[in-house]
Order: sequence, then C-alpha cells, then structure tokens
Amino acid sequence: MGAVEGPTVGRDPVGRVESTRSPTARSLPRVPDTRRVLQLVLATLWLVDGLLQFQPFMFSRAFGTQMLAGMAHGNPRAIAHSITWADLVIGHHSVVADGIFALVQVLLGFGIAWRPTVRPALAASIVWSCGVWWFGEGLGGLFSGTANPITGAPGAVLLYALLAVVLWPTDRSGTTPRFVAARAVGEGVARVLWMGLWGLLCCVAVLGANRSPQGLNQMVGQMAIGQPLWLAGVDHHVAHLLAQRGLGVSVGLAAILGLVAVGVVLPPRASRITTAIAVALGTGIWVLGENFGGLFTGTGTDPNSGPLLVLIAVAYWPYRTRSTPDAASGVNAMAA
Amino acid sequence: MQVPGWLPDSFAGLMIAVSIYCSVVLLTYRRTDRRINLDINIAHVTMGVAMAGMLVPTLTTLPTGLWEAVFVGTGTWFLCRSVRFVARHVGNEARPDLHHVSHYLTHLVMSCGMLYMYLAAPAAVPASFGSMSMGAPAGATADFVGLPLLFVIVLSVSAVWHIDTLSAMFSNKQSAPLPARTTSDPMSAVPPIGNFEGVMFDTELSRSCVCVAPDTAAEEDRTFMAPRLEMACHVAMCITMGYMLILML
Repeated sequence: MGAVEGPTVGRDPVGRVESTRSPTARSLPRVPDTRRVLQLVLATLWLVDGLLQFQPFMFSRAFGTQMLAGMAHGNPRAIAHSITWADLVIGHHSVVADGIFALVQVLLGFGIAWRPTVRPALAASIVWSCGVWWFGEGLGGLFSGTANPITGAPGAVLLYALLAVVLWPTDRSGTTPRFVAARAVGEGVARVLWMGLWGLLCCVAVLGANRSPQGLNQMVGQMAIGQPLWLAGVDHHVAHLLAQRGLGVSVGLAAILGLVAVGVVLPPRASRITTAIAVALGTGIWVLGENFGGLFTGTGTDPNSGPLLVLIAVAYWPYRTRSTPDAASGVNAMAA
Repeated sequence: MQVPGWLPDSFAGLMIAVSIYCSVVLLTYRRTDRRINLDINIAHVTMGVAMAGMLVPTLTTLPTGLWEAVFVGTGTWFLCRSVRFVARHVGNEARPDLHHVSHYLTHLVMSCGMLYMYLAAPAAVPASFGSMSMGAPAGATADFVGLPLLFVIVLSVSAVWHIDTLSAMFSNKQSAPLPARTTSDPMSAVPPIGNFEGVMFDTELSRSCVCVAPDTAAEEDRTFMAPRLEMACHVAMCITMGYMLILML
C-alpha cells in the first residue's frame, strides 16, 4: 500500500516494482516487525473498545450510576468513595461522558496505528488505562475480594497499560532480546512484569470465595444471563462440571498459573511450552470464563482480559534464534 | 435507550462526504491521466449513500429491497474477484500477495455487513419507504448476533491496517520525495509493516481492474488518483459501518 519511495525503482521478473534502496533489499526475506504487528493488534483492540462504547446502553444514566458505581462495592472506603463520586458524575452527564470515552478510545487506536504518534498514543493509553482501572473497574476487584482470573482479574484495562509498556517503540542498545517484550524495557524488567502478572493471577485464583466449593459454579452460572442460547448452554454445562469442585479446580488453576509465571526464566524450549500454555489459558478464560467479554449482551465495554493475555503471551514468545531479522527491522519501524 | 441524535447525524454527514468525493472521482478520472479502482469507488458511493439513509431516515434514497439487491450484487462481485485472484495464483511459483485478496475480502465483508443491516431490522422499517432505525436485530437474524461482531472486528483490522499504511506513506514522503511517475495503487501495495526495504507493488491487480485498460507500459505508468484520500475514505467507511453494526449487538 505504501508508495515506492526510494532513490531508484526496479521491476522484478513477475512485473512487480520494488525498492532497490539497498543491495540487500531483495535478498532479505520480508519479515514483518513483530512488535509493530502487536502494536497494530493493540490499536485494533482500542478501536473495538471505542466502537463498543457507542452502544446505546452506554449513553444511559444507568451506565454510570449502576454499572460503574457497582464497582465500588467491597473496596476500601476511600477508594469506594472516589469511585462512587466519579461514576455519579458520569451518570449525570452520561451522553457527554460516554461520547468522550468513545472518542478517546477511538483516537488511541488511531494514534497507535499512525506511526508518528505511536509514542504519545501509547503514553496516553497508559494514563487512560490507569484512570479507567480505578474508576471504571474498581481496581479490578483486587481490594474487594471479588477478583478472579477467570472473570478478568486483575482488570482488563490494566493489561492495556502493560502492553503499552512492553510494546514501547524503542530498543535497548547493546543487548539481543530473547523476546519482543524485552526490546523496550530489557529482559530483566520484562521478566519481572511477566512474573508479577501471572503470579498475581496465581494468588488471586485461590483467594476468598474463589476456592469455595460452589464459587466457580455460581460465577460461571451467572455468566449465562443475557448470553445467546448456545453460549448460555455452554455456561450451564461448564457450571455443572464445576459444581462442588471449586477448591480443586482453583488450586489446579493456580498451579498452572504459577508454572506460567516462572516459565519466563526457564530455558527457551521450556519457556515456549509455558508461553503456549499461557496462550491456551487466555483463550480458555476468554471463551469459558468471560464469554467473549460479554460482547453479545449489549453491555460489554471491551473484549475483557482473554485476548490481552494472549497478546502479552505472544510478546513473550521466545525467538528461535538469538539474532533475528525482527530486531533489525525494528530499527526501521522506529525510524518511521 | 437511544444514542444522541448528533452521533448518527455526524456519521451520516461523513458518509455523504465520502460518497460525494468518490462520485467526483468516478466522474472526473477519465479527464485526467490517472487510474482509479472503479469497483472500489462504486462500492464506496453505494455504501455511503445507503448508510447515510440508514443513519438518518430522511436521507433514504431507495427502497430496502433494492438496496439488498445492490449489496447482493457487490458482494457477489467481490467474491468473484477473490476467487479469481486465488485461482490465478494457485500453482504460480511467485508467492501470491495475500493483501490483494484480503482487500477483496474486506469489501466482501462490507457488502455482507450492509446486507445484514438491511435484513436484521425489517421490523423497524416504516411501511412507506426503505428507511430503518438502528437497533437490535429482529426475527431470524437475532440468532446470528455473532455476525455483526465478526464484521466489526474485520472492519477494525482493515481500518487500523490502512491507517498504518497511510502513515507509512506520509512518513516516506517526508523522508524521500516520490519519483515522478510511480504506480502507487493504494489497494495493491503490500502493507509496509516494519521493514520498508521490502516494500513492493503488484501491478497485476491494477491491470485486472475493470477500470484499467490493456496491459500497456504507458497504462501501467499512469499514477493513481489521490491514493491517500481513497484510503482515508476506506477508513471512514470502516469506522461508520463498525459503529452501525455495534448498535445491532
């Protein structure tokens, strides 16, 4: 789609016109910059979020006063008070507030997709995510005891911020990263972020009501409300399987999450396996636990944490070789 | 629950602007030494006019049945283009450029999306004419609520992809001026994600476009008319259609 804009333009045997800016241009395989691809996926998610914010329910007063304000329940008093206050303000100015929310999220998507504005857009997305995590998601339920990895802990929007950090378009000089996420922050910090995320999910999985015999059963059963028949049927079936097995499933899930958390420090081959488990977990959580973020109910504000967990896992997928063309091409992407 | 009136009005205004622009392009391109993607521009005009009518009922121009027939036609056209492209490249040693077929498929999805929107809300159609108000799907289409979501995702991916490419074109333009007569079909080039060294163009698609006459070197050397604007129009179409489909979830 881009124009051929080099000093010279040549034509290959099949009639294609290609840039001949450098002698090696033709010999190098066209390997896309993985980080840029992940940034574009992130931009798409922001765009979908913005579009979802245009749903009629979001413009109603109930969005602020009921849906968002409900996030305050169970949080410490100071946090709950701030959430209630903000969400009442949103509820009383629902049309303007929701219009702004939708516009901001669409613009974040556009900003990340538009190369010259990647950095400001990613920085803005971190600020926006933290605000939404506080006022819109009640800090992911971490302080109210309602957080569960199966239903979106530690808050999907926090994962947007994490992705903005690890996909930041810069490269640390003097190191050869083992995975995409390490390019911007370095392997040490990237590993700490990964272990922090999955370790948190591991702990949350066995906290509070999550380990009660009927906890997961009730949680999944309630997800069926408002879903299409086929998805509600899946929910009922899964809830039936989980009945009276909450403790065992929670402990098992925590063990797998813990394994994924430490996987990032294992040798590449083992790390690849644990990252693949992370992808499978993210997918399973999204389909069975989050019901595709409740998008079919008409009140879903985002796809929830499942796709983001998968995206993060892809950013941590170990390279096959230590010297990758990806790292080289990233320099070009940064220059754009 | 209703969306504020200014929102559909704004999107309808955007669609009218896109339709007018594409109409002007269709009417004037023969007078210039430029090429266009005729089928794409026609699709943009029809979809723009139809969506404006759906968003603001007073802008309705044709009965619903006629619009349905139009989008069955455009959908069939882009399906044939996709199949033809794939068939032409099967067994070809040169690696087919998947972006071409993805472009046809995107417009196929857009046609299907339009068709879905007309079929999904028959209950809301006033008796007199083809206008409709957006809302949750009714009747048999209520069983396919996943479809609009799938369409929205495809349209969002397409919009983001085009914005990325558009920004790459602008970035490249700033760093090095375009050669005087470069083919720059906005719909045929490979998206330059990351490595600009490998950007290449496939003029085969351009040759096969209905607007492009015979395979002459002179024809190939003709530049495309406002490729960036054409891409911007496509992004606007994707966002507007995505908004309308979201209302049907």
